[in-house]
Amino acid sequence: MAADAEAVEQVKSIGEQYKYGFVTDIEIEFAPKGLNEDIVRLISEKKEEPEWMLEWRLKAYRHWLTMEEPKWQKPQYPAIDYQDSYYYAAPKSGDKPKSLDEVDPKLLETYEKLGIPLREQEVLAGVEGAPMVAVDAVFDSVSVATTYKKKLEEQGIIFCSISEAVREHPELVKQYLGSVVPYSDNYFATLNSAVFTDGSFVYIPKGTRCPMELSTYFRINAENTGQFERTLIIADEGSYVSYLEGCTAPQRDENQLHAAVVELVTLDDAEIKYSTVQNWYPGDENGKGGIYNFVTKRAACRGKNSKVSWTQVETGSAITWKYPSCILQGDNSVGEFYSVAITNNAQLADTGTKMIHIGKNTRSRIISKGISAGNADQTYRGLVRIQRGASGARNYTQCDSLLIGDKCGAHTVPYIESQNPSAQVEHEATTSSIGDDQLFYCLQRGMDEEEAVALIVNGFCKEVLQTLPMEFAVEAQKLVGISLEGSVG
Amino acid sequence: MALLEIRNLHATVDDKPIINGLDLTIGGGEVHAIMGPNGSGKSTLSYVLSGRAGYEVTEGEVLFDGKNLLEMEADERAREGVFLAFQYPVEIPGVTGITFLRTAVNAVRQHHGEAPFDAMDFVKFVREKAAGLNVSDDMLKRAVNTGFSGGEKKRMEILQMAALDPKLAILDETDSGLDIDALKVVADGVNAMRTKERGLLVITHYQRLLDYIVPDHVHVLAKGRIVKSGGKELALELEESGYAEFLEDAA
Amino acid sequence: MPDGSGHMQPYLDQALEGSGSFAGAGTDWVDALRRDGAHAYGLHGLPKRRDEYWRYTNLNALADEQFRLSDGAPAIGLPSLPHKLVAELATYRVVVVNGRLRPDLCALGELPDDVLVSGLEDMLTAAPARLEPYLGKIIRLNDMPMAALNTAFLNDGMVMFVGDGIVLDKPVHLISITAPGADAMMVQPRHLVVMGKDTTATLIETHITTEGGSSFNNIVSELHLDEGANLNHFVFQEESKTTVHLSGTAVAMAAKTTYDSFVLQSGAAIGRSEIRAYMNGPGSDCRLDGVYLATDKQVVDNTTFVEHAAPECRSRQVYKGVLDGQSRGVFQGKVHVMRDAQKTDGHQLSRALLLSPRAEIDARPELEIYADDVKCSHGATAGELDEDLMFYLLSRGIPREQARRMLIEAFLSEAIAEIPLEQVAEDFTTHVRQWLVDNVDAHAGQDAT
Ligand SMILES: Nc1ncnc2c1ncn2[C@@H]1O[C@H](COP(=O)(O)OP(=O)(O)OP(=O)(O)O)[C@@H](O)[C@H]1O
Ligand SMILES: [Mg+2]
Repeated sequence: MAADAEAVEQVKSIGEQYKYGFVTDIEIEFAPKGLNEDIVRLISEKKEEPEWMLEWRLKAYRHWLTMEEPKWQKPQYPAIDYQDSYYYAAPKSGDKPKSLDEVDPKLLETYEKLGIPLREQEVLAGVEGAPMVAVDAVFDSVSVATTYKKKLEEQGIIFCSISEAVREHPELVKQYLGSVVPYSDNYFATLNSAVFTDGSFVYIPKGTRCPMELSTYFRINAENTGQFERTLIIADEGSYVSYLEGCTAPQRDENQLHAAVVELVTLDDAEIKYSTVQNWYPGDENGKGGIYNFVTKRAACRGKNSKVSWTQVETGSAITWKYPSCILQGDNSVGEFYSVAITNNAQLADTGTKMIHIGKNTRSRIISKGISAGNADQTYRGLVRIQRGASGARNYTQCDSLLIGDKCGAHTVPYIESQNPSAQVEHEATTSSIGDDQLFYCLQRGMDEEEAVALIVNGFCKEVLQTLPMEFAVEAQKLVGISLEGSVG
Repeated sequence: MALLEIRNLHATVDDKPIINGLDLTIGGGEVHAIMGPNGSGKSTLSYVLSGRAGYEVTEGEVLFDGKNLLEMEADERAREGVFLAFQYPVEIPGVTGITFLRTAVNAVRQHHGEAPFDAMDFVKFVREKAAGLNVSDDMLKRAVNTGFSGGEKKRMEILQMAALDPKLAILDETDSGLDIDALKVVADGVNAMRTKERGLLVITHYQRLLDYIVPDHVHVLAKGRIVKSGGKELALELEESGYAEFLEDAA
Repeated sequence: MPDGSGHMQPYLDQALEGSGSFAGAGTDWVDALRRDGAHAYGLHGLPKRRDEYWRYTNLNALADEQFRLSDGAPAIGLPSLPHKLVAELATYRVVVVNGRLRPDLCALGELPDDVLVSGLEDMLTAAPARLEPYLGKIIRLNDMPMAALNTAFLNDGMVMFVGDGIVLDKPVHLISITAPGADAMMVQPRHLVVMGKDTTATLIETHITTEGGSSFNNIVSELHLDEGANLNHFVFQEESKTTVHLSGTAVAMAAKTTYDSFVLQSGAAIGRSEIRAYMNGPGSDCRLDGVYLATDKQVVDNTTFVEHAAPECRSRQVYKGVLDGQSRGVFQGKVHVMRDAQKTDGHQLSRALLLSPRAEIDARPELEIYADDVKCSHGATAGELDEDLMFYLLSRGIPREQARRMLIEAFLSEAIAEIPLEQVAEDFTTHVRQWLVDNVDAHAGQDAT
């Protein structure tokens, strides 16, 4: 295909175009490098945690020591030296500021540059008429600001950093933390359980529809720092919340580890919509630097008629390893997974989902769109399991890959396990390139190749992008556009 | 004794009440037409009568030839002589039309103590019926309805009716999707089957079909009940006035 | 035999013990081949759940090493074959009993010149040089541990050479009989087919078991297709439910070849058909179809791997299964498109019907693609019979059991319809029909809604 060589060229330039690659020059307090029980204790102490929390962390840490780092066929990456990393890094501004005015102006500037509104009257940069969004801003290991807390509190909604929740709402944290992703779940989740630093906590009370989007913005700034955030969202009976998550990091030559855990719980008739635009620094075009994004995200649809919908747009990170999953326990519960993953240059992504059908008439839907360019390699890995008791369960999976250039790869590995005859499972997958005829059709209508490719790729992703909340959809579309800029013509 | 007697029928789908106290009596040799707005329960009535799973009768009774129809399984009803021409006939890949029809016809024949057709005799038997309906041999050799056009599917339904020779035929919007010539072919096929024993229940949205298949009675179904009955002239009136009046009444 | 690392390598001892007495012992390359097999199996051990390709098929039944290598073919006659039309077909008949060729039961008639059908043991003894370029050349021992074990036992089976330009007038019918005595018995047959340039042949295999104790049949077939070769390959796997039947087939396809395979599995306690097609030359066409029927506690596994190494090749796979009782069906299929295999067209479909609440299907259709100008897709479905179709049949007066059978047969027909040899297609259909009568009717009506 004529466009290919150019498409490759264009996509190559993306590494240089990472526009969030700046570093904030701010004084940082580090815990000593390396990982041991003392570090775990130190983190817990810094967070002023109660004893039970520390015990839980230590249990996780001791378990982690007995575990072996997983070795996948792909992605392959150089061994991580867990002793050569900082596990705690915080801006040296003392205690968490009480109000925005006390926040270090450099931090405010950083978020401004990233387009994240921390002043409550602001809306997301560049989007007119966007609805209100409450933001929890996490900078390295700590939450630096959470907006609209007061307004949310009026309705009984808790939106705060997880550190604060451990102190202020211990009963909720105790009940739910680790109940979806146990501390022993997998190598990275266990590590996270031992050293998690910050992240967001959300509780939506019975019958409440959260009046605004909640969002957390993660920023890795410090060098040699691992980020281990932990998010816990509980939607009580009949409640609804839409939650957004965004991430960026400076451009650095070293790889940095980001090993997050996200746990969602929905009770009867509750719904959580969880959207991610992941744009960690991907490394340069030769694969130098970039974030290792090893994340465990899982939702328990415990209540009947409950629903969790994951949407992710994954464009960043050197390596992504992530399978947002749903455990569909409640009868009639629904799990959805919508994903766009763009990998390019030397990026690797191994992503997908698990839908575990346990309750009756549970339904799941998986739409995954993978775009691979440059030397990138991408894997969709998904599990749909219908357990014996899941009568009437339904799954539909559609999983498409698009290859741009002849040096990239796409790998589709679905696992489909059904133990119930009344369940219906349907899986479809395709891999293709941008068709000559499609391209020609666009050219014939007067578009240049670049526009045409952007148009076709956006069309390819549309089903997923349109599930994003409006503010994010715009950002995501731009992101898709950027990754294709100059790729042709 | 009437051929079909429906008394105070109530039926639900997924716990949602769709038929709400419906009475209807069809005598041998009679043609009844049912008209009514979209979603009023016409197809549901046809499924309840033919015994589709998931359509639950919560009240009332249906007598067919004096027997309790509701106690019978779907296939039993068919063998007893209830035929439904589907609004949306399904495609069955992998089963040829001829095999399908022979299996059905033989099941009915055996039920009546008649000898089943062998393959050769059956081809002759079907060809005769098919000729009048413009159903080609090729259509019979293909998988049931698979890849058929809308009109072809409807003609196939009528061919099945002719082959199965039911006592009561329910035609659910058999006219929709037919071109003018096909409408005539289908109507002729149906009229050829009018006997003084057989009952016909014709569901349609258009007066036009009733020009060809002239009904003895016309009923208006709205919100799961018959809200008005009359002679064939009622269809003409409806064409003029629409259903607004009934929707308010039933509300 | 567990080794230091804790993994099990049962039967390796038996292979090593026997190696001195196997055919061709003393010929260097033959000894080396067996050694390589033993080595690869020794390293890997018996497949376990964490082996990607054995995730769903558990071989614990083999772990305690109860099976002893058969000590030769018993003097049984030719049993009656389950498939009428194929049995009556004019064929070149080759009979292998317990992995050993039985010349007295073969009926090769007048084979064309330049076609050789023989026993592996004879060839290894009399003309090993002719085998050397082919035997063991396309089995990737590290990918196929059980084929590695077979290689360690390599001794007898069928060998077939079809000379350039020959279109074989009749199918070759390989009848493979497992005839256990009272004790648990193991056989390790090895078959080799070498198709010359521009050749055409049909190979039909029937696998059956005679009455006796339990058995373990570990088969490996190597099929070499030189440029322009066409091979039709039909397999009936109908071993008894006391047999573990593992079959590994590797096909090397040169340019412009066609390989058309159809596997019907309804026998064995554990039945596995693994086919690995290596499409090494451009312009080739590979078709892998299968139907499986399982009941009771049977496990039926179909595993495929199609490697597109050359451009402009096409592969098609359709596997359909019906699972009753507490059976488990497994489909694992992979289409691997390598960098240079532009214009690949690959498609894969797995569909399973579950007839019982205790049955299970596990499917893993997989695409791995490194060329950008390709069209590849797969689909997989699992579920029960479509209620709308069922109602349509019922509403025409067709009784439920009969409707069920019609619909199941129709479901399977998509795969069977592709069989080019009419007698085979019909025998397959008859077999399916009979299986449905024997197994499905037995509890029809239980599911009436
Ligand atoms: N499975 C179902 N679950 C829920 N509601 C259903 C189901 N099937 C039918 N209904 C509802 O029942 C009502 C009656 O449907 P029905 O198909 O009988 O209408 P109809 O009179 O035939 O309409 P039309 O003229 O459009 O064919 C509709 O509101 C429909 O949505
Ligand atoms: Mg209708």
